[in-house]
Amino acid sequence: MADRSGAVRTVLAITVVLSACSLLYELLIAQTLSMLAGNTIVWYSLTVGGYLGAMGLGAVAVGTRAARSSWNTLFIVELLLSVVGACAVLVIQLAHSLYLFFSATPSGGNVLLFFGVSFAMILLVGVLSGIELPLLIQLGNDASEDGKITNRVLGWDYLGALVAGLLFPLALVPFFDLAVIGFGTALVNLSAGTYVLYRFVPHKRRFRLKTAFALAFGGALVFGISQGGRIQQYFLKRYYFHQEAAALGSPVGPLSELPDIERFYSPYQKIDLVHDTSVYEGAILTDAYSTKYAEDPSLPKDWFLFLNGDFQVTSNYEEIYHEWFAHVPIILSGKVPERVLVMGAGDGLLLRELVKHEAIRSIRHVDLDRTLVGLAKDHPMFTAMNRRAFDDPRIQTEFGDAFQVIRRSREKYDAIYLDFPYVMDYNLSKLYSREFFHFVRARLAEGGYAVLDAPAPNLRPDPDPEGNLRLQRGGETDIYYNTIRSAGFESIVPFHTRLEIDNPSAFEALETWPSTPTMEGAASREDLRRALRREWMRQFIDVHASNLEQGFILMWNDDRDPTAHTYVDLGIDLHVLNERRFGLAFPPPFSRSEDIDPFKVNSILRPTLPNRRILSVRKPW
Amino acid sequence: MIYAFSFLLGFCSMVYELLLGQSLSAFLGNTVLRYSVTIGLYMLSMGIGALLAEGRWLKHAAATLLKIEILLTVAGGFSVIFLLILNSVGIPDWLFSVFAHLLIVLIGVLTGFEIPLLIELRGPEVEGSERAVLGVDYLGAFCGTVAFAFVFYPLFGLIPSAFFVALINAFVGVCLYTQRFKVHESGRRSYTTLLWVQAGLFVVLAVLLQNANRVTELFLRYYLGS
Repeated sequence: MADRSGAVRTVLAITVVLSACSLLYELLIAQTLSMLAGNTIVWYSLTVGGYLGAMGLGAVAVGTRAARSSWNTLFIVELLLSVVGACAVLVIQLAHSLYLFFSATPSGGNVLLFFGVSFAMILLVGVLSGIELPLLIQLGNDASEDGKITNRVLGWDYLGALVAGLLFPLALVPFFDLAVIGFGTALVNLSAGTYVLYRFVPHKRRFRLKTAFALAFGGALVFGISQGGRIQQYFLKRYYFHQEAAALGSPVGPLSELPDIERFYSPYQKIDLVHDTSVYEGAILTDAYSTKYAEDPSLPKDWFLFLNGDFQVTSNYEEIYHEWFAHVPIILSGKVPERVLVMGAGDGLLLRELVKHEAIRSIRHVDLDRTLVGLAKDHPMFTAMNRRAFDDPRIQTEFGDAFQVIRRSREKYDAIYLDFPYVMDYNLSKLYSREFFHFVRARLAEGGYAVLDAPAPNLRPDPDPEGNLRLQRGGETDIYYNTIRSAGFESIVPFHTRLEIDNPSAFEALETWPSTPTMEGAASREDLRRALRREWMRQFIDVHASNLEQGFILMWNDDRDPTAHTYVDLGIDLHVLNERRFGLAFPPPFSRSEDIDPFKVNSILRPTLPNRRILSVRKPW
Repeated sequence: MIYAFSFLLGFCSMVYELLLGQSLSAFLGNTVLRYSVTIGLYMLSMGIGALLAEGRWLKHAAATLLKIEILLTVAGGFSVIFLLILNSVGIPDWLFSVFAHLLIVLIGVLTGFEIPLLIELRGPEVEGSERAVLGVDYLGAFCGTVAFAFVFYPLFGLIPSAFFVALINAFVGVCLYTQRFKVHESGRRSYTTLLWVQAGLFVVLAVLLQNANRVTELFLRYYLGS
């Protein structure tokens, strides 16, 4: 080798680039899996562990064949690594969309297959990276004077890992689609490999073939980057419309006849607006319960908001949820709060309900995400729904992490509304922790209340002879109760949105429903047919009402009678909530243990939420 | 035996780092950033540690390794409590963040230091010992991540996990005694003292682990009261 120190420098430079690329591939896989299978921490830990483990394996495996290491081998490994790395995100997303497709068909999806494919990608990248490092050490040693370069190569390798660790969360994830980041990384990786090919590999047999392949793959990557938007739409549609895809019998089609999904990026989450017009059967009952479309037919229909792939709210029924959330606590408290703190609720829908109360003097609104609040202020779909609630001068919106804000805050509030996404990972678990509720309680003025949305209590009959109801063990409700009580709240009242079944307008709406159940044989007996039809309608409405059921937990600092529910007319415009439905909002009294079970308390030091299997796959619905 | 040590030490250090990353994420938020940075810093500081471990240190490999185990036991075992207290006394977030990242680097450097020492104790002349020690260390790290994700964080919680892992760490330190490594005449007395310190730490951690729930409650009260 003519230029020895040059070769050493090249080895070190290539080491940084390659180790950064390898870790980026792994972080991409980790992030893809956290989006598709929830639970960021688990996936980051496992991916990094799998990476290190496979690198260890790769290093041990290569050990015996050190003699064969050459620039040519390095080039081949780089080529393979850039192909595998570029495809990893796509393969995992494809496996996920196929899983969703089959889970919506009678054959069912196979979770293990999905996780098997994902792990295979983690290990493949890890093993290839593990082969790479001893090669670089060997090449560095061959090129250097004293033959002792191991530690320097290792040092630069680790530096590359740090570069990737910083670039990924700060400069890449908030701005680009994961598949595109994968292509870009592969392009850098491929360039390094091609440089090795030109500079160090003897221009001998198959040199042209190798060059052609590298160039062709580079071209494919550039094309892939330019098509980033389409690739993203493809997977978004396969995700949100997987039921339609199953109905169409299309396992891999692009579903181009369905409307595009609007995706917005923020540093904290991916915001998706889905316009799904495939009619949900229950939609026929909307007007039977809510007056909003009768009053204003121009209101948005069939819009769905998703954050990080989890369903948040739909234009069709959101007023049910928000009217209960905002007003039931006020009715139960007996007076309208003056100073209100709202955390989360970036869509502005809860704020729309709150500003209806003229007695509220100030609303401090804290949200994490400027992008979401910006959409809620400007996007026509949102402004039609929230009626530009943010224009109300009583609302002061600020941006920050709710946990830090409530911990640092020293003001007192008469009411605190907690409207966060459901707990899907440990990041959100903090906002449902004992520590968080403790700080919330400390911020409540005397007689003030806090309220959050939470799963409706799942009750079961007690084995005792009186048949009392008690909380079902194992459900998340039990965790919420123990956590809130360990934070020191005296009174806890659960309530839920429940619509009545014997609603004449609902039955009327169903009269026109085309899919009348035909009772062959019985059809001649008119009265029997009508009875059957009525029973079918009752069941239909019941299913619909259950689908719309949403739980909340209301808590006070002081001792209250949890069974006193008196309706008061608040004198504001409501579309769904009325005295009758208020009466249905409370589950029957149930007994629960007085002692706090420490193993059910959700804490930032030991999370018990989300309480579900770690290996579960995310679905839009 | 050296391989078993390497495996366990790789395991312990990885879990320490994940505990620190998760503490940062719990107190300051933004999991993805915390994890990416923790892992990047960990690998970098391991590299720095490996570079630092040469010459004089390698001559007294057994004594140096024992010192490192003592430091790791203390730094790792009390890291979460240390951060919890720091966060409770109301120092600014950036300073808290500096301390936490210093801990990450410290543990990383110490871990990087371990590997050349273990190779030295194994005998660098043994064919392939370099790669094997490194490989086993990485496998230990892999097991650490699995244990952290499925057992330590969701079932034990951060503070008891830190005690438990430090207990393993101290155990490895004490086990070094059974290996009868050559120790220089001059350093023999201090080597024995170090062993007693390590054994003492083992007992302290065992008692703390026994009362982990009470200890957690105590510090958590302090945090909530702040």
